[in-house]
Amino acid sequence: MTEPAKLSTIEKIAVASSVFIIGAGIVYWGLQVQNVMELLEMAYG
Amino acid sequence: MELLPLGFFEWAESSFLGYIGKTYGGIYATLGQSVHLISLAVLGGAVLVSDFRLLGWVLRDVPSEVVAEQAHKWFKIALFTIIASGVFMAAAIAIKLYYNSAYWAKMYALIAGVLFVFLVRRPLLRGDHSQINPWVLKLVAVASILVWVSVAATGRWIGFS
Amino acid sequence: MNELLYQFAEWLYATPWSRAIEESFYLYNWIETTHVLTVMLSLGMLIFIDLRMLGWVMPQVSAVKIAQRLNTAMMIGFVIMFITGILLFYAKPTYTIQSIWFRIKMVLLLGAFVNALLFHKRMMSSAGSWDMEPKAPAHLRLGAALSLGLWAGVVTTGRLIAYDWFHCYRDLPAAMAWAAGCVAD
Repeated sequence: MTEPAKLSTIEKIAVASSVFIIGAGIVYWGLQVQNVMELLEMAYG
Repeated sequence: MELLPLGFFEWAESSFLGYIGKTYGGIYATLGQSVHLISLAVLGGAVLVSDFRLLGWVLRDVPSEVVAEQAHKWFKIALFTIIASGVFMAAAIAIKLYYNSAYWAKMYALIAGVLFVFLVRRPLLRGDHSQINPWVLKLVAVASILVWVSVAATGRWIGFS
Repeated sequence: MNELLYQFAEWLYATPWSRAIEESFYLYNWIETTHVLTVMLSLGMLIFIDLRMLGWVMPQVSAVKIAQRLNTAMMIGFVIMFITGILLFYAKPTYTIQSIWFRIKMVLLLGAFVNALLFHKRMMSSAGSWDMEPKAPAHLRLGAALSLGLWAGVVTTGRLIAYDWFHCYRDLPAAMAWAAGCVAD
């Protein structure tokens, strides 16, 4: 893209909410994986 | 953390719907679980067909406006049946659900998904897609896939935790 | 026949990996979750293809194009389902081989497979003439409806495998015990 992308209001809202969802998803699933790892470490060392 | 008080779940489980689901295992498994899973397939198809199109993975030679509009029609049907069967199942095991963290994770993801679809994704995709920054479309598609897969996965884990 | 199948299941059961998967809470449940979630991909695409044949989705777009363009995604889904399905069976072979629901599911799967082959052959041999019509010809619509029905049955019986209402340790009528392949409890 040559010209600087100008986002409309709905595009900005879409980017913000998508980033929020992706961020929340990464945090949630990251924590789940971490919990399991800790549990397995406690069980098997 | 919990969106509704324990009293609501106690009431739900003692309601007629809760009684039916608890008493008749066959109805719970078929009209509840099986309808829920078939609706998941339809919902998954609607979400993935339109999001894969936005990502440019399928149906590249079909206008993405057409794909998004048609998929949304079936998304609404699937969402209705999936919530109806979900409410029926939830009523039967309501008190257990109140103490189930996967259930609450699912409810948060579901609320996020529904708000995202009806307040952001659909209003955005209703217009001419060539006027939308392609990276915005791709970002929306990734978020949409993630949120609905998360709703389904946390939903499955209600039964395991 | 039932004896032989059960012996095979017992042999599978005795292999170390079968025990490891069943005994691992996270491994077994994540394989199960993957198996269930993949319906979004495999059956999701299949349903859209079938609905197009019935004229209920994207009627203005070529039906054959929809079928062909969604085929790869659908197949990827089916491969994942097949692999995770085999692993689930492998983890609980002696229970599953004697489940009447599992047996009905396998028959329905076979039916869905044969139906899909016939459908594909018939679709390709007549494609040019009706492709852009909102609805496929009656015999293909029948195939699409049959596909939806068979897969709904596969999903339902698949879910029911978890329930032991008609398992061999129950008091079953002789015909049902035979159909479930009851050899041991």
